[in-house]
Amino acid sequence: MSPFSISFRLVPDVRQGKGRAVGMLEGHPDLCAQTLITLPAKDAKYHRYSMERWTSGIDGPQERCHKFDGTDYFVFKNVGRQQRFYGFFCHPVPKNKSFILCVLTTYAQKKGDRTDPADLGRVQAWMDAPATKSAIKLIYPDIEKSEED
Amino acid sequence: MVTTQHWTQSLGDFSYWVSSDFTAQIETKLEEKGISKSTFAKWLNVSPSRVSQVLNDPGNLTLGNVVKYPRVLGMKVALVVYEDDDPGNGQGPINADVFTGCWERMGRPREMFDLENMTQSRGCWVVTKTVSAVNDRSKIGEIKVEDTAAANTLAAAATVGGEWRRRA
Repeated sequence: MSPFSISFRLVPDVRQGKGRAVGMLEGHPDLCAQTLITLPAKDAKYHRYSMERWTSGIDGPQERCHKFDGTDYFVFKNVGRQQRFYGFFCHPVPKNKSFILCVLTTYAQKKGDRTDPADLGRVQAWMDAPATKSAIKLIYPDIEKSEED
Repeated sequence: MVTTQHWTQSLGDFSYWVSSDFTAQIETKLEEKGISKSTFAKWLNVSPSRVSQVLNDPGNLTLGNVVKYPRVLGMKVALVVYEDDDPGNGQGPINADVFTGCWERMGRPREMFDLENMTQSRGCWVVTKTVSAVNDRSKIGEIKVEDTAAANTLAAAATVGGEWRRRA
């Protein structure tokens, strides 16, 4: 794989919350950011509402977004349009351990409800990538301190 | 973090947000009760595709459906108009779940008299002025009280200049 540079930013035009925020990784063709920011207007509104609902502290409905049991994986979805935006949770603020950042990584277009394990494998790969942590650190400088505690 | 201008500036986008907020509540209730969309469609006397269409693209909700959808689930709906000190809508709308949560925490009052007659049975108290019983006078804030006796003791201890406002 050729060298690449990863960056992170909060999803634009989405109201971030006091206890939750949604961001995205950018800079590699496997990442979903480009798909997310170039969605047709109606689809963009659908996901924007779902994200704001979640950042305001409301979980679900599962039809729109959910965590995968026993993991830190998360997905925002539009079932009607067969869209899935996968990501993972982290806690980048040491002074507020309950603060959850959802880092969106990858995208899948799929019909059925069943999650392809390969899609979660891609999330895990980005979760483990040192470049991911470095990129998030630019926005949340204390993320490592938060994970050490 | 708060954006300076929320994406729901236009009436159309604000309507979309409010409609989505409504359908998300319906979807959540369907999931909680384990009701499939096809069963829900049967109860509504419409086709399953019509239900999916409305839930996936809530932009064209009618007031009739806003009343009908909760009704077939044994629920009701209220339209709440509110002021949130954000006339320019810089911060966007507030989720209906927040209003529902407040109403439920207040003991689900049915009318304004229920609010006025609420006793100091339990809940939390908010200090709105300096309370002499508090050692550090700068620490004016919220004190959560678990039981009535403790709440009354604290209220009695707040002697001069303290005003206590009950919060459910």
